[in-house]
Amino acid sequence: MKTIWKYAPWIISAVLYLLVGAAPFLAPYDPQQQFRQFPLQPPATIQFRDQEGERSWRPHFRLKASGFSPRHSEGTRMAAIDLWAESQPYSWLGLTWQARLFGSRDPSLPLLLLGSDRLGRDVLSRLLHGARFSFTIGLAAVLLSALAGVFLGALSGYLAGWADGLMMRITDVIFSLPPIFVVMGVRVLFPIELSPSRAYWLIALSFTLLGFTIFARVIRGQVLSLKTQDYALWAQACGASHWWVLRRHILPFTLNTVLVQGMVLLPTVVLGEVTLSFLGMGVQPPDPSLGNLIAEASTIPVMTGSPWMLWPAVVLLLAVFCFNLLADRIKGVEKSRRMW
Amino acid sequence: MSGFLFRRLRQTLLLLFLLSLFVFLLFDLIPGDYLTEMEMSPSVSAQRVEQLRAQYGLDKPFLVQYFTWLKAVLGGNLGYSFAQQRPAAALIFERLANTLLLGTAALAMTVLMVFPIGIISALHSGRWPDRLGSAFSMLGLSAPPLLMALFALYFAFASRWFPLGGIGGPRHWILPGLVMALPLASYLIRQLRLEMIDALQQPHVLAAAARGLSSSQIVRHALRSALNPLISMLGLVWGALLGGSVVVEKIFNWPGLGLLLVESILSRDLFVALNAILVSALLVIFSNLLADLLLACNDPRIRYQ
Repeated sequence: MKTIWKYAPWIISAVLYLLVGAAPFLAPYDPQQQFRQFPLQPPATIQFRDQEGERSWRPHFRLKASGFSPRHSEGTRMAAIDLWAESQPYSWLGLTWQARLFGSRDPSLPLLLLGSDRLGRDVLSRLLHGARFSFTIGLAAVLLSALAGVFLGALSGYLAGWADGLMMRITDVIFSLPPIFVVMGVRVLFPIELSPSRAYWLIALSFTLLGFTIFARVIRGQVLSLKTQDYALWAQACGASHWWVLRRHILPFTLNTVLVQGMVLLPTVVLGEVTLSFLGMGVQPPDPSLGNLIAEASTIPVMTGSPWMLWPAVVLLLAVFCFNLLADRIKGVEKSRRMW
Repeated sequence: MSGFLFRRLRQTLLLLFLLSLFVFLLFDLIPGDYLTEMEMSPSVSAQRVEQLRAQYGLDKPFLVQYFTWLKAVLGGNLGYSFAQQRPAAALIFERLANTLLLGTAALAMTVLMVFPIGIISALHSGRWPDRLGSAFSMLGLSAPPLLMALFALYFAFASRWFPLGGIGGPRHWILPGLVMALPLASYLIRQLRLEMIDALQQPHVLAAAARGLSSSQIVRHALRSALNPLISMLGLVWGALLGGSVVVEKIFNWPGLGLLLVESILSRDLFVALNAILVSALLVIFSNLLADLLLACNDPRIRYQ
């Protein structure tokens, strides 16, 4: 039992990333596909009984008629759930697929496992695709920050002198601003309406601008002390090149710090992207992100009338909590952390 | 003290210079200038555009433009809000006052939470009050402010005890202030707890205990040395509060600087957006400076480093 608890954050984080990685295959529908007869539909209920009420090994789902769809107000309708259901062709992992993991057998009755939104789009599909956007952007920004930060930090610590001074003053400026303001400052430079892939890289790069400062500062400090170690000096005395000394005798010792900083940064970046999209500056509405899904659910009428739209918030909470626990585990000791 | 003051002021000035350069660079990076649109209009001749460009100094090199801009900013001219048809400076300072009001309320709540919880956790470290305090700060640190604000909004609706947003009397401050205060308070509680546990084991505190001082007097002795790191964090406080204000003001519709920033970016009101960022950075830099000076007053060792 204790072991499970120990590894739970690891397992849940890995599962979350696998789920969002397989989002196109797992999601029963395209995130933008509308079922116009089923707006604000409550989640389907699943049962192992067929239309006649007989026990069946095949799961069936039942949709309640919502008040907004007069055409189907004659009570509830049922359909079977198919595994490997046929669908419109879509691409995933570089291949074109014609089927998704599960779907409805009756084409006129969509499988709305988590209900539908105001425009009749499947909340589960939007959630999976939105989380895919938000979670992978965090990973991309952390990797880019680590690369840029380690490179610049190592250089500035190793060379010292004016390059180091300039570097540290630049990070000072970025540190003096609230992080979200830096990202918004970069966002001002570009039009609000951007294609999803451009928005993706713009957001990833603007978080890199923030994240690299954290890596650069920590790595610089370590390199400053590591380069005066006897073995590094000795290697230099033997005629090793600067590049060799850095790569062989200094950088390997910073790996641990890089991992810790990366894990600390991950939830912050994911949350930052969600916040940005929530404010309407991230990916733009027809394309889902956890942020704009939460924004759609953030009014009182939606929260009280169709609470299933809040599932994205639940997923965000779970993910951020897990990533934070993971970071705490990796750190081992309580260190200071930056806040939004 | 004066040597310390001088060094610290020099650092701050350098930072301010770089920051203003950074903000101006942002202005400069935005494609096109204010005459680009005119260039495309058939009714304005090319010479006229050139003339206007020379008149406004837009044909000058980057650094000259920068100093012209800096002079205007120092004179309190922050440009014009095209979306709201009024000078940006008036708009920004009006909204800044609202944010400072909310921030002060949040700060007061933070202090009210941090000292009791932090001190009690340290005094009973490892036992249930400490566990409870740790759980509280863990929750406050890992719950996203966005979701906390949404929950608070729902709570206001369901309980009908608080207004759903907007600016008004103290009842309007409580929920947004609390949402802004919680992450900050959780962070500071952790720090204060660790510092207090350290301080309580110092020889002078043990000596005070050995002489039979009451526990409130012992806490007072320990608190003085535990307070230093917290004072240096006061500088961080405004940065965190301003960062948090963006989401909270958006959800509670509080007309502050954060909401202004969001609105101005979405309506492409560039002067307002970038100058709002500049003004809030100034606030953070000066509160950092103030925190360092306070620290130097409280702890003589720092002055002579």
